[in-house]
Amino acid sequence: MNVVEVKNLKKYFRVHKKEPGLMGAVKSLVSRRYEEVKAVDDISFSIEEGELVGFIGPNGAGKTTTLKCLSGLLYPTAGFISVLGFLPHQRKPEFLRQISLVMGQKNQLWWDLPPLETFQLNKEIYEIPEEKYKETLNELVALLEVEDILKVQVRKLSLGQRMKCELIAALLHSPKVLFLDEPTIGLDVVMQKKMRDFIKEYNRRYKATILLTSHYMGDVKELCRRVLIIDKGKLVFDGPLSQITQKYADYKLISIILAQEVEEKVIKSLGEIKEFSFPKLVYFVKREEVSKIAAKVLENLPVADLNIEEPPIEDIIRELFTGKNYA
Amino acid sequence: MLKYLTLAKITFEEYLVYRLNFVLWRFRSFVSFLTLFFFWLAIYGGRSEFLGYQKSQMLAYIVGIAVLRSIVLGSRSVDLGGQIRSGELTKIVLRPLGIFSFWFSRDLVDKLLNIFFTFLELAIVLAIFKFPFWFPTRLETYIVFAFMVILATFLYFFLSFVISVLAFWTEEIWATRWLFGVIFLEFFAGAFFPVDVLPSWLQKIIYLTPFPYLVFYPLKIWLEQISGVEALKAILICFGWLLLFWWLAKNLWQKGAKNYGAYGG
Amino acid sequence: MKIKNLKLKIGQISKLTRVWVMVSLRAAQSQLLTSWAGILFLIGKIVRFLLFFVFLFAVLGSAKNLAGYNPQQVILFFLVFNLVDISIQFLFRGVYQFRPLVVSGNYDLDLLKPLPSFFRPIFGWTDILDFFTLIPLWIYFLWFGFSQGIFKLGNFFLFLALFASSLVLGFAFHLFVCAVCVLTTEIDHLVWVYRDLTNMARFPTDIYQRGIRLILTFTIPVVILITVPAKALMGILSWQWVLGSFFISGLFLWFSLKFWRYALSQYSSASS
Repeated sequence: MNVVEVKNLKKYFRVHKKEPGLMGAVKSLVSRRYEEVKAVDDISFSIEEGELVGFIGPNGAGKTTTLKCLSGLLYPTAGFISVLGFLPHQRKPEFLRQISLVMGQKNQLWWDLPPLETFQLNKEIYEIPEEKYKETLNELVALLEVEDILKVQVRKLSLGQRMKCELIAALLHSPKVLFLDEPTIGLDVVMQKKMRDFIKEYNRRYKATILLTSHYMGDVKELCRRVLIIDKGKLVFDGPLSQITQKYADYKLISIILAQEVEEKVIKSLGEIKEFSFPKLVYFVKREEVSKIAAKVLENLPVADLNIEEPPIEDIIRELFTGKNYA
Repeated sequence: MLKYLTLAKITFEEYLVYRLNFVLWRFRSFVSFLTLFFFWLAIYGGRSEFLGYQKSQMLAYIVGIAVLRSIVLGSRSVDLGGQIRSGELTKIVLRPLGIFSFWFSRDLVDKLLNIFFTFLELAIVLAIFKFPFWFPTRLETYIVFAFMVILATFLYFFLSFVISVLAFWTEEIWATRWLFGVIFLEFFAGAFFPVDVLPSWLQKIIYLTPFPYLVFYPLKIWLEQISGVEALKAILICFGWLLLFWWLAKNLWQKGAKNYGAYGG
Repeated sequence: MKIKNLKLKIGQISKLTRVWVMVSLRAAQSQLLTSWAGILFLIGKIVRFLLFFVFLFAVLGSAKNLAGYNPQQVILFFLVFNLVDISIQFLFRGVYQFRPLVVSGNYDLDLLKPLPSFFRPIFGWTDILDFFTLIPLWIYFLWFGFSQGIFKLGNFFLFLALFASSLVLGFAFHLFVCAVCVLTTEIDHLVWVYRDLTNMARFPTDIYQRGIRLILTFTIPVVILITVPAKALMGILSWQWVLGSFFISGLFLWFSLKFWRYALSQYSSASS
């Protein structure tokens, strides 16, 4: 059963360009020049119940715009979207009760009051029955370890604590579909891990469908079995994470630990160097030539250790985005 | 001198940018003038005298309010409070201009602009309605009036400055300014109606404050409704208040600015 | 089927009322915890009301007549003005908080809650303190009217109906402002203009020239907001005006709702 169906989604924005200075301001009163920005340019995909899917791409790629179209905040310029059988942009109450959107930089918690006040408000807004509310709240609080701070004013909490409480506020009504936009942005390494663990656990326990956007590879590697890569509004890749390497990297890395110092001339002659700081040496090697070059290296260099590795996902994706593949 | 001219020019340019702001400000002033104008016109009805004011005098009073608002009360120094809270102030404190001269120059631009437009609006209204306008009969009146207006302008400047400077110690800049600068000021200064139409017990209280010297007394002088002795008294008291607020402004400013750097802006 | 629908509607309205009360309580808590501004504004409003009141009494004590109305009637106009103005401020104050909500993008999160889209923009910042000024005002108003024998029961009910209509009109106007805020975020001036024009109705609007009265009836319909209920109370309102007022309120409401929907459809949130 497809929870999310997207067919040929397009979202274009009209942005008006203004020249700087006083003359620019006067001119803009008389005639405005508009530029069309194709934030999302013909994207199609579908997602099943319980999936944990990641949208990755560079800043401005269209990930957040896609998420906003899916949650109902933006009207698509063209194309078809269906989430849980609803047309999101109609924002029907029955639809809104089953989804939730969390955006890294935006808050719904009342700033001067304890989180509990916002929770009780949401309970009323979503018409959650008392026992269900207590049960869900306790579970979430335990999972996120925030028992002590529920009655502390939000403005006195650290960023990590605030994010946790924002999550609770967003999940009290047990949404079937959860949209997370840059959930780990601005958090320290420890908090990022805690956040990822929570998301994984929530997906496992409640079978909620989770769509997240991120430009942190760590999020993607940890959480997403399935990844959609978006660049300049287009869907570049849709599939399991492991496939990216196979599909897009036509090279591998040979990583060597040298036993002795060697002349740079010799090292350079054997292949293209990715990285060299004694004793570590890494070569780019085309897939077909791996065995050949590995043999040459073993023959000509004092090798203490040698490994043949897939290139890191980060590198592949970075290259995808800059349109450059090692060839 | 050149710096102040440059400052004036920059302030004037700001007005061009925030045109809409300014236009709406003029609109609001005009609306409030019209409201009072018609109110008194209606009150007088067919009468020619009421509560000690000839019709022409009362209407002159209302017109006078509009004029004095732009001369005495026009100011940009309200921005000071906001600048203190936002930390922008550090930039200005570092500039080689005296803090009073800086703000007064900006205020002058505001006053000049407002006076120009006020006269324009008034000319239109007077042309349409053709009502009798009261002019003083004696030459001395004009001189004393001008002198009092100058005093009042400076008094208001320092008074407003004191309110703004409180921003060093409290976040409530809008609320305090609204309460003291708008409510108390406008009623007690006689900027809605002449203070002496109120019951005498209230009048006595109001005369103890500095506010009536901003608008009410200057207009009374213009209307030649107070004797020379009383006018002199008014001027002296106004001067006294001026000194007090000048002293307060100077001291509070020094205290506040000294600690300001400690905030880190 | 019809009864089920009715029950549904009543359920929705009671839920919205509960949420509104909860939001208002939290808004009040927020205010108390952060600043004295609320108290200062309250003091200022009370002082202004009292000063104007004293002024009116003083002037009317001698004048005995304003555009054909006797002092009691003028006071009544003033009281109705305050009732309508403060009630509207009380209920629809959310507008003043809306701009930061839109600019920060946090409004997106409100759009995705199962509440009417205009709930937070309009009702999200009700001022409990205003409520405390309304109660004594109503009490004084009722005492003044009944003890002076001005109110006749029939007129009073008509007044209440027109008062409700004024609230609807006030709502429509504030909704319009919210729509403008969504489109351009430049609303401060609009709100000031509204306040200034409304303030003109402190006195019976008959004192103004015809041209001004027309403006006050058909642009921001201040006359309908305030003068009309007041006149109804005194039994001097023609039935044409009564019908016309209800009609204009309804018209403004319809237009505002349409405009609000249009604004939302144009809304693309402040993206990264």
